[in-house]
Amino acid sequence: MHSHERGQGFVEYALLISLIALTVILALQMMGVSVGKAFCDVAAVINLTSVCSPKVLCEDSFDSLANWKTFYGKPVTTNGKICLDKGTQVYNTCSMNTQRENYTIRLENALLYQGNGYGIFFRTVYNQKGANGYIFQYDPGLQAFVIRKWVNGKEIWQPIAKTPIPNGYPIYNTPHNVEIIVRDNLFTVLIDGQQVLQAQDDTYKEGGIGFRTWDHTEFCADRIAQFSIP
Amino acid sequence: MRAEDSPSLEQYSVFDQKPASDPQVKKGRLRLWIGIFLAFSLLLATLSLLQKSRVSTLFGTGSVYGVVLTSSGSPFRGEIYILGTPLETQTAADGAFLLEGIPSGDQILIVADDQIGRDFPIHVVAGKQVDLGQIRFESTAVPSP
Repeated sequence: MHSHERGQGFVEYALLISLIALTVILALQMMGVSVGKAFCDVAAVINLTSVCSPKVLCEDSFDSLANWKTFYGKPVTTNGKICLDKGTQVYNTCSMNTQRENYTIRLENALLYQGNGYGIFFRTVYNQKGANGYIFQYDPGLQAFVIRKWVNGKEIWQPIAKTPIPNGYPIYNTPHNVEIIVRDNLFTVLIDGQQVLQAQDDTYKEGGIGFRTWDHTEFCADRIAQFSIP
Repeated sequence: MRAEDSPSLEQYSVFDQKPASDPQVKKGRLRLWIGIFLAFSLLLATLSLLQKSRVSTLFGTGSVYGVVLTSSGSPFRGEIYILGTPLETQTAADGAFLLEGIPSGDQILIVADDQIGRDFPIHVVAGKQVDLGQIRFESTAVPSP
């Protein structure tokens, strides 16, 4: 009888600790703090970085267009590069199939030869009318880096974030590495390791990756990868 | 009473008194804390759920109507969406539209032609039709940049 009561006491203590943990997690979520990120920050402090190291979710070195579906336009792959020109829209089937919420996109050696720019879709899904999601635009046409929303295949004209391209920036004929960090409602864009843009929005919760070019653009890139983030 | 028979200070000290170690009291306190944290976590879970827009339909839906005109003042023919929902309609020949079944609260109305959309913040009241009046749609002169 006595040991039974002691066992019951342990269960109650365990229940109390679980409820405290649940309360803390819910409170952090309400405050907009990522529990996963907090966990990984702690893991990094105690040298457990492998627990939270990013994993490749989807990647493509552009040997073919097997992992890409064309919405319109004529993309090509040549010498391990994808090249898009004029009005083209393609999406990555791997990332579209998994429909993830949080991830990092790394686009290597993105090279704009001419034209008004190119766009990288993220957290995007396609319906019969077209893309629904976000796009980062490397946009010399607007002389800016821009993040916009798309609804039913139409871009919402007012960007959710926009920053001017600095004078003297090597826009054309210079390869750049573009990284987009998509975490909860915060989107951060880095070019060659430097943060150029950040936006916050709650409209779209999950989706994949794609490319867009327009007008007289000629654009190529070497490799794209989608990584997990905690 | 003789002085030596008086109780010592130690006997009166409240600080040295040990708390009651009655197991029933301990158990009662533990259960009280479990109840408090259970109630608190339920409250937080409810508030977290209410933050999600999908739940806003629980508080009812409303309708909006209005007329969309181009920048030159002529009736606009195009599509109307509510951002983040599957709701959509088209404007009539005179630019008028009515969209029903919108979750109440703050929403974004999108007016779109065949290239771009423009966003307009609106407030939807449950069970009511809100008149948005005249909405001006400014198209882009060139294809999207």
